[in-house]
Amino acid sequence: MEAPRHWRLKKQRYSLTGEVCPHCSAKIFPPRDVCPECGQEAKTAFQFSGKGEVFSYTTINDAPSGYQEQAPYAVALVKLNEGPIVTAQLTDLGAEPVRIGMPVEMVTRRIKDDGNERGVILYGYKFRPVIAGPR
Amino acid sequence: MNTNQEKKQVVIAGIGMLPVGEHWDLSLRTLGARAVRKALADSGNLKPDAIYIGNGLANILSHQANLGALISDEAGFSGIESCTFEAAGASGAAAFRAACLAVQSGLIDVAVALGVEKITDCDGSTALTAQDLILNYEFEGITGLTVAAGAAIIAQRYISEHLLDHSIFQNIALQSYQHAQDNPNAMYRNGLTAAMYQKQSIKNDPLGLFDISSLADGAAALVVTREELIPVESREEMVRVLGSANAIAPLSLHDRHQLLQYSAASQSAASALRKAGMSLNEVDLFELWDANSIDTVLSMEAIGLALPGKGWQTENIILNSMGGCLGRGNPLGASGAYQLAEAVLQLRGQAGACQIAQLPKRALVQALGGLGSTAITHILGHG
Repeated sequence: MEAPRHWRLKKQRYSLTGEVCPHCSAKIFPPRDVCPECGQEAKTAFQFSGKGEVFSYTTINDAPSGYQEQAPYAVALVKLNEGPIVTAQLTDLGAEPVRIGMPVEMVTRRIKDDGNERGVILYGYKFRPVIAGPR
Repeated sequence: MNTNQEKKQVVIAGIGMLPVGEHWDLSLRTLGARAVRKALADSGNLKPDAIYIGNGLANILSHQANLGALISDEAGFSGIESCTFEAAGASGAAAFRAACLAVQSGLIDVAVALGVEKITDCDGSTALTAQDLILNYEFEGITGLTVAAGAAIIAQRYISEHLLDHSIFQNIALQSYQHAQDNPNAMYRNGLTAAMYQKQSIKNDPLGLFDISSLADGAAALVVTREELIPVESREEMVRVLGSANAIAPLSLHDRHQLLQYSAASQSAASALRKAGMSLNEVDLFELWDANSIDTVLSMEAIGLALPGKGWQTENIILNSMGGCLGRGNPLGASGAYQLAEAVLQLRGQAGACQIAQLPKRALVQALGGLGSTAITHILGHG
């Protein structure tokens, strides 16, 4: 189940922790050593709000191994309010059709399991439509 | 006249292709070795000093690495230099570029570039999942994204920004399937009608069955050497490598500043043309990437053949004259080698029923890996 890898990425998967570049103030997700905007070293952690909108999307019918039980599902590029774009599944869609520009917010959901090999479940971010008012 | 430069001119002395398809009876090593031997026979039995292999998925699908030793020995060339180059869909083109650089350096006299892919050793879903290796696993693959879905996400945004609909992809598919009808190495030779296209199942909205190429087995090889090593009387008919360039862009779709600009395609094409000392309007024949039809649309725009929003209008150029990945089939790491070998056939006037009417003198051949994140361009020509 690639434990070290998922452990290493837990701050990104559970809380959308990226970076803000100390040199040019660009917001960065996922974090990386070199700022893609100015080319200087990036290392200051920054937690994103998890709010954004659908930049583009598609529906997956032929899912890869490990995801077949979830199909069909929608995967989107979500443009976060702070600027960066994140790739994520959309969830809790109900009957609502996905559209470009749809406001969405991050939620934590089951990403995949290991096919009952050891019963390990991987959790991480997905995005759901924003509904007005508290929920 | 710069004789030193002329001496270093890289020429394509031979090509060899196997039909693309489901070769249940042939293993990875047999496919690869046969294409190498075919290309060497076509070169008049030159003896190779090196074999560079382009392959994408053997590590997973055939449980096989170390293809240099496996395939070159199988072809009967124990003792020579050989290793693998991987650049997703551009692997075959990467191996070809390595062969050109080796020969041009003077350290190698005769090099073979082989593209080989063995897809059908596993069931279809395993092959599709393996193909998703070319995505960023930690932040794309983990969401359940697939390569075709990534292409569809780009296509969806393209249609939305330019106020178009999915019918813009129809002509690219119809053209490719029409060209493949006359290509004896193509997988789909029965043609495609507009009615069939319009009834296709939509795999990943807005892309349908005929907008996404099929993975299949294949192997294609090219023999390159320096002009000075070719007998004077044969030099005139040789196809030359006039330019070669590789450029990369961010792998993940979410890291791209402009999702609808294939910047690597743009940079590698411009660089290859510059090395050839040519402008775009001197190119007679284009082999552009069409693993997914949106790839072709954005390549057209990136290279400068169409304005943004118009890359689906391909009527004014000679494009993928032997069917491309859509019609020929897509043996991933081999497709770049097929593109080059097919362009050589056209330039030699040996493309049979696919031969374009006026013998072309210059071809631009571009392979993309990983939804435009790697782009390798070659300019081939006579004289």
